[in-house]
Amino acid sequence: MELAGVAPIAADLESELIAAYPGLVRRLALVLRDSHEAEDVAQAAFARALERRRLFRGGDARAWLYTIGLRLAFNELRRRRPTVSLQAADEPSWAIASDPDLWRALAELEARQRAALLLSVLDGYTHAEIGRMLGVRPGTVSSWLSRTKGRLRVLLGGDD
Amino acid sequence: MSDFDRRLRSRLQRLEESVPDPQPLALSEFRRSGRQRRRQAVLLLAATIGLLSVTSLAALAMRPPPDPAQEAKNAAEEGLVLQDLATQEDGSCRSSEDAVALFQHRLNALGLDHWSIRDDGRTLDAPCISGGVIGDSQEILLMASMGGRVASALDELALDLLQTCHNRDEAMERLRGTLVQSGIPEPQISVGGVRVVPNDSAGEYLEQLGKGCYLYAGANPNQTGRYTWYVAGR
Repeated sequence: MELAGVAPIAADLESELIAAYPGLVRRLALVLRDSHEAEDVAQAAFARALERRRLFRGGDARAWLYTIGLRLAFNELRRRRPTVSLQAADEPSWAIASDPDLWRALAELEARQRAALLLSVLDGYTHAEIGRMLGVRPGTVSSWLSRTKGRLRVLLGGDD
Repeated sequence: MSDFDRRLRSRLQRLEESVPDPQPLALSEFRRSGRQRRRQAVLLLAATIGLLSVTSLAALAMRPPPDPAQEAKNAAEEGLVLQDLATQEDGSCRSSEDAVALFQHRLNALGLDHWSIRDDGRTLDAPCISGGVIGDSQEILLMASMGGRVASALDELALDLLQTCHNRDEAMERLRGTLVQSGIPEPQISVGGVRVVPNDSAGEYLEQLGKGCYLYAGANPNQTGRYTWYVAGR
């Protein structure tokens, strides 16, 4: 029994989760396309991670939290009722101020493909790692990434 | 990495960084009420969650590392059970025995013999019993519930308090009256502070709080299932 080690490990994990939380909110804002909803789901994910900290086997706590958060987000998306296309007025000011073309181009992607793109391009996770996080095969991730980049290349005019 | 990839990465970084800073996490709340938040996440009987339904999410009991095939099977079964039990919801307040009987009956009907019903002892003082459907552990966890009829009455109260400004005492009295009339004889009520802000009416909610109005702010069961109902205000 390594009882002495339990508390510090738990505290370390909590610290890592806290550090990863703002990033998760931002990531989910791009996946869910709603920063308020992203915060709500991120809080649920954080709570879930704390509840299940004993199940954490070590490694990348951020990836673990992101996995929980993304899956909750996909669940939430599945539950959403179909909505009409977003009007320009519905677009968040922060996105429009930053990069409206990219924001609108990302809307063309399916949420899980959007998530895979972000995990690959921004975080550098491998296709296998992304597959584990999103619950799909690595080959599916490869296919998604190829397709989404091709689509963005057209939408953003990124020929090189 | 191509030029396009580099540019895409740079633009995505900037876009992600432009997302507004989230509110700081209230850690004490998470540590204290982790179970309640799980309840929000897995609650079966939606009528019992009132204002907290903004974060209602399906059960997703993470067990890293996940096996995609098994996880897909669990998720499918979870959806099946949720869908089935949703048709059984009539707003009634079930005892533990009644809830277990209902859940077992429905699991049998669905042919899910490998599923179980778990009572972790945290519903001893609960006014009613609900269930959380957790696909990953193939179980229905018994959970405290205030009951669908109470929740419906509280939904109406929440809307009323949102539309009409009430001071602290008035709001507390309205809440107490609603609960007593709904069959909770001695409700435990806590007043003050802001606990949750409902997504679907956040602007209105915060505006009312800013005017000094007091609003219904949800409820939490404790470790034995006894509820505290909250009134928020500053």
